[in-house]
Amino acid sequence: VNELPVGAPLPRWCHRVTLAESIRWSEALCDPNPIHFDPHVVARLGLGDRPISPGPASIAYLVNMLASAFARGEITELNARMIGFVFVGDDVEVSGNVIAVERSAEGIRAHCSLVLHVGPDRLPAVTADAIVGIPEEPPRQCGTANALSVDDEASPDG
Amino acid sequence: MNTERLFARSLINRATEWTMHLDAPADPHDRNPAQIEGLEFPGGSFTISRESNDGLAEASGGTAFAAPHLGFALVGTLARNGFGVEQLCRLCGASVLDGPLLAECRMTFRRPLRFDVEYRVCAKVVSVERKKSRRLGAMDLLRFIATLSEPGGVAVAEVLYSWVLPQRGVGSE
Repeated sequence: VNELPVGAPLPRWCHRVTLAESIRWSEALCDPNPIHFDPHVVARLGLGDRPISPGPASIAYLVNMLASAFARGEITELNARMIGFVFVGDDVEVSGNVIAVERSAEGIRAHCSLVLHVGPDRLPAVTADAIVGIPEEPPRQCGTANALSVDDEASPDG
Repeated sequence: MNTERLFARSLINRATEWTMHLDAPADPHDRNPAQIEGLEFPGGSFTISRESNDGLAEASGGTAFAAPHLGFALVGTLARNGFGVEQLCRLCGASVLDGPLLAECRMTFRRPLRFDVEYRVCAKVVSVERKKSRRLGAMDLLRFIATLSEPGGVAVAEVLYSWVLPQRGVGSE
């Protein structure tokens, strides 16, 4: 983490959106908007021919990608702009880069730029920027072949 | 897939019932945005259980992490703000059946989310702006801000939402 280079690509996160997931999100959000589960309504409104996944689900995909990329990190800011639809059945891919790194005594703040692409043409559906706080790694013990285990540190004998 | 379709059908029926039992939406022509801007939501509260965390992680195509999924900040501030998506539409003279869409969301986390903590949700309308979209026609851009706080009022997260609310009842003005 201390070597986190600006411009580094983050590991991609991929997923195929299902109707069951869209429905579960609708229920969790108490959102009866039929475009999330009824293709006929989507067609009547001229928006497509498949249910549209709720926007918060797409944001959750961004969170998943960041959580996978920064195991010890905590997202402190996430700004997402929905610029296209994510339909049920779409393959989504979240990719991104570290665009800036701030260092302080507490650790590192990694500024990231993210894009969620959909479908075989990889059309952008969500763009986002995020800040992930990563605590400083504890200093390694010098002169020991192996890192101390938690039990070793907790031992009264030190 | 059959179960999914049954679920979907049940949600469609519920959406239709909810709408039938509502008061008639206000005439969009009569709505005065100034009456809505600054309006405080009734508010509400929610807790995150490990079971619901597993469910949200699964619905998001991922595995559950040790900490609550940050998607709960969205679930909590949208489903437990006292209005909900459906009533937000009504406030602007729109209908949830016309396909409201989340346009933008800016989330700030001051503390990590935790399990089994009762979070308080407060929210208020920031602005409502009438716009015209080539694809959606007349619409309102509703901005509202929601905050999550722990017992004692400690701020945990803030979410600034922008929602597109199609105004199908409004002709080409």
